[in-house]
Amino acid sequence: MNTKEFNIAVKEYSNRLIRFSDKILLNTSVAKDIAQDCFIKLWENKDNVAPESAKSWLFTCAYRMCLRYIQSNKRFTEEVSLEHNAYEMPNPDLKKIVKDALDLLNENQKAILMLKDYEGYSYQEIGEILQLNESQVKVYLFRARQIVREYIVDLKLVF
Amino acid sequence: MNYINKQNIEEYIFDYYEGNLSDIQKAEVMSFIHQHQEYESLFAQWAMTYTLKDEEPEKYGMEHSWMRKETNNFQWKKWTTVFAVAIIGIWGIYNWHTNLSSKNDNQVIKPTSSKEATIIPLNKVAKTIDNKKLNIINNNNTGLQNNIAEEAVNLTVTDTKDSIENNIVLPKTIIENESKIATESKLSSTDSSEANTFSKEAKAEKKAKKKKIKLHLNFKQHDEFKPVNENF
Repeated sequence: MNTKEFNIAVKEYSNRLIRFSDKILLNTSVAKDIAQDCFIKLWENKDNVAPESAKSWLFTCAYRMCLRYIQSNKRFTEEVSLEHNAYEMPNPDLKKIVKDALDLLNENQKAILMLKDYEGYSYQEIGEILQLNESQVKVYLFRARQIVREYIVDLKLVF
Repeated sequence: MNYINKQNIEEYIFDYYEGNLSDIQKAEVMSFIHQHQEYESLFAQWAMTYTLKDEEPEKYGMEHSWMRKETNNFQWKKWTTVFAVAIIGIWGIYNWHTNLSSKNDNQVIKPTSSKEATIIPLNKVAKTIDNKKLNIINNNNTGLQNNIAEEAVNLTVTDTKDSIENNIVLPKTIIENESKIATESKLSSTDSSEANTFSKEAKAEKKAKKKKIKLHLNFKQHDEFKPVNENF
């Protein structure tokens, strides 16, 4: 990977990487830091990373760094719960509601849902990024969507 | 394939939206929902969970600060290439020129006829005459003639050595040269005592060289030899 390809990767994936980390961590500034660290690592390993695999490499890096961050700051993230979020004021914007519902998911579910819906990855690709097998990915995704659906129903947005 | 029932309908709806079902399976799911209208709302709720699909990310504006400056090596590479090509070109022309000039210097007329065989470039002869002989030549003009004649024989032999088998001119040329040497040596023997001693030495050397030439060439002289080429 040369400088030009690296810059293309930055342009293409920087916002996606921040959003991915932000949804997992619920902290935009930390998400930015993690994304930046990932690009620094990518630059350091530019000789070993092919341009076509840069995207999955970056998301794998970001996911691992998010997990590390969560483990080191576990006591602060435990406050988030389903009950706390489920009975907020209803929001007519469905996208906003679904985004809020993401906060109820655990890291794996959140990461899988993000990679599937936002990035359009297949089960196999998600499994490679998150070190899971395809059936695990499918189960996690099913459970994640179920939680989102329940959240929407709880808000009485649908009949 | 499992039948769709109330326990697994949710999994089928999930697979329906995920695109994991075949057209037949999709039709069966739709058929089941039409038959059990209480699942229509469930079907709609599941559809809502896909609202984030393919949504463009909001822009955080960090990409420009994270980009690396591209070093423009084009100009540097261009001029390096031009310089290298120029150097190679100059070297090539110089090499070609020196080869050409050295070829001209070393050019020896190969004998094609008996007359031409006797013509030897003077510089070539001068090169091959050693210092010892040159001293003698300074003292005695007859010695010079002898030496030149000898060298003519040597050069003719060495130059045509590779093409001996194909070139029949050589034997005749050598014979002629030898006869010339003999006549010249006879003439020179009457000049002086020093010249006589030199001629004796020259004869001895000549005999030795004759032997060498004969051994080296290993050809036989035939009286009935008739050259095919008219130039002979």
